[in-house]
Amino acid sequence: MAALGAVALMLVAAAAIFFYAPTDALQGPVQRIFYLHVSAAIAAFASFAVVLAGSVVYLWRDSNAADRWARAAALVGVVFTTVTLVMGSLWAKPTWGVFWTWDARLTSTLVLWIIYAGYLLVRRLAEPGRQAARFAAIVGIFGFVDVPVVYYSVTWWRTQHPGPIVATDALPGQMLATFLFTMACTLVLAATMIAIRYRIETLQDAAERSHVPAKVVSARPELGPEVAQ
Amino acid sequence: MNVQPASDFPSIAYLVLAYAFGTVVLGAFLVWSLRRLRDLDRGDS
Repeated sequence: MAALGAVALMLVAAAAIFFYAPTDALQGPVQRIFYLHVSAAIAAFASFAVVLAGSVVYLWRDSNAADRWARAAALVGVVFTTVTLVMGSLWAKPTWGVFWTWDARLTSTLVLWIIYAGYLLVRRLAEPGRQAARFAAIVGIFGFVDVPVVYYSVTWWRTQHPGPIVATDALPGQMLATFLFTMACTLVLAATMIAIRYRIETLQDAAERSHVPAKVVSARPELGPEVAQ
Repeated sequence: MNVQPASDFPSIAYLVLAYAFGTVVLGAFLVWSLRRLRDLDRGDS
C-alpha cells in the first residue's frame, strides 16, 4: 500500500516536471533531467545517512536491527546513486558534449557508488555473523565521509559540473516548486524502499536462523534468535 | 554550465532516455523487492 502511494506521488512529480515546470531558455527541454537527477542524489545521501546511523548504533549497542537498517539503506542508496550517475551522463552529453569527464563532482560520486557497492559485496560474500557486520559497519561509517566531499566538491574545486543553484536562489519559482516537490516524492519513495528492504532482511535473517543447527547457535551466539527487534 | 551546439542526436532523446532509465531502474527495483517480500512472507526462502 505504501509502495502504491509512493509510485502515485512519483507520477504526480512526473506530471509537474513535464507539464508544470517551464522549459529552460538556454538548454531547452533536456534541462528537465535536473529534477530527478538531483532528487535521486539527495535520496542517495539520505539513504547513506541511514547506513551511517545504523552502523554507529550497531557498533554501539550490538543491535542486529540497526545492522539490518544499514544493509537495507545501502542497497537503496546504491540504486539511487546509479540513477544519479546515469541521468547525469545523459544530461552531460547534449550540454558538455561528452558523457563523462573526470571532474571532482562526477569522480567523487563514482567513488561513493564504489564504496557502497563494496559494502554490499562484503555483506554478500562474507560469512554472516558479527565479524562481517562489524567490518561493514566500519565501511558504512567511513564511507559516509565521501558524502560531504561530493556535496562541497563544486565549491572546493574548479569543476565542469554547475555549483549549487537551489541554495543560491538561482531557480525561478515554478522550477523551484517542481524541484522541491520532486525531491519530497523521491525521499518518500526511498523511505518506502528502505522499509521494504528492512522487512526482507528481517525475514531472511529469521529464515537463516531457522536453518542453523542448535549446536552452531550455542557456539556462535550472534546467529541466535534475535530477529524480533 | 557550458552549452554545446546541438549534436546530430536531438537533445530531447537524451531527456527521454534519462527518464526511461530512471523509471526502469527504480520501478524494477521496487517490483523485485515487493516480489521478494511476498515470497518470504509465504515462507519460501
